Amino acid sequence: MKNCITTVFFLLITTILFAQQEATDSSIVKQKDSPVSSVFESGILIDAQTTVIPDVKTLEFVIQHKFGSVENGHSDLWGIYAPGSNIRLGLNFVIRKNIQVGAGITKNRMMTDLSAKWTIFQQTQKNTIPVSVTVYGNIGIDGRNISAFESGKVRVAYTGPVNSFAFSDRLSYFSELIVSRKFTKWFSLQGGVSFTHYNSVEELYDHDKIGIHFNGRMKVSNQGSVVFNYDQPLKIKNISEQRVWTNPPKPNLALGYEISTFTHVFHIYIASTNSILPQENIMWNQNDWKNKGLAIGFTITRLWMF
Amino acid sequence: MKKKSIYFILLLVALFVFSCKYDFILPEEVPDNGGNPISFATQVAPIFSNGNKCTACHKPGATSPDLTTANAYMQILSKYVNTANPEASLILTMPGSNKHSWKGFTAGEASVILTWIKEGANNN
Repeated sequence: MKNCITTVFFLLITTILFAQQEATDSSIVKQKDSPVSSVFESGILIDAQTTVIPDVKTLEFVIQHKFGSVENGHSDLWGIYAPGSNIRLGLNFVIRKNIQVGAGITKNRMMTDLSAKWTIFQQTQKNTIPVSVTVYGNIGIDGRNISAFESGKVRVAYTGPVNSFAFSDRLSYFSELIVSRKFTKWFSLQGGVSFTHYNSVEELYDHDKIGIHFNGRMKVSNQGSVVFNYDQPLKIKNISEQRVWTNPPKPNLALGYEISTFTHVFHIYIASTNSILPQENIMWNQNDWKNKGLAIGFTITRLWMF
Repeated sequence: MKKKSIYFILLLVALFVFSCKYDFILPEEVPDNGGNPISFATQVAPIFSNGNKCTACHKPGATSPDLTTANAYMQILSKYVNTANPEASLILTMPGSNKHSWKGFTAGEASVILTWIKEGANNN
């Protein structure tokens, strides 16, 4: 199964890369059609990636924070005074046109993440290209002490040799293909499909998970918008290593309000996950939005252009 | 798109694909205490305080119960320990649950605490 997934993934990326090369060559003879502006206001919508990448040599600072869950009501001010908060600080830099790299640190599991994002096609004003297409990938490094990993030993698959817990066992990956469209000046929508992989998990869990994602923005004023995210981990028996589903991850629904200026974007929202990194959300989310699993959060981005 | 960009992205993809592993973390072995009773002072209380695992939040003046070594026993005895049904003790069931998902015990730690409760939850 591993070989199958990696081969398909590699072929897909290689095909996209060389298709893009040909498309760029052939587009020289065609009339120029410029990309639409502001499909979304930022490269991040609540906690999800969008197809937006700022101009070359732009540095973006991202602060993402989630409070505890609202389950205790007013006694801890709907989670604001509760323990169990999560925070991520990140920096992204646009190294070439439509290519961004980034790094961040997250409180939960003491994760350090390295990411890259590439917008392959941008939706154009004359509709020559009707959608924007982006690939995003990251690597997460679990930074907790070795004592957090049970015995400190791992077994290769179910029947392989037993080894000591290594650095590579701390790694997790998330990759996503995102397609977005700005339908009108006030309404944009995007969908994505993702593949999440953890190098090591406990015995009752899967290493791989496929998810689908929907995100949208509806402007209600020049600077204000209503935004949403929905992430659905899929239960696919064919890629599962388990015979019994143990605590399958739950979907995440997030609703928020966005305020944007030229260099800042601010989201305040309520979401049914405590995770900030996408792989954590897809693989481990146990919060149920129908059962007081919601948490208040906010995201702030700040741009500097060099 | 320039070739450099293509090579850069292919490198990232290769890093992703070729560093994948499919390891399972083996559960912590339950420690053998050689027939001696579990000591609260030397075996249970350090679970709460080592690396500030619990005591980062559960300390005097902060989130109840106070699990610092000096206060943990008196704090958990009445409400969080159930000697009639040890497996149902809140000190075992709450960490790692939906209501406390950010921190939990390893299998070995949970086993030590459960054995201590089964032995009468003594302040030894």
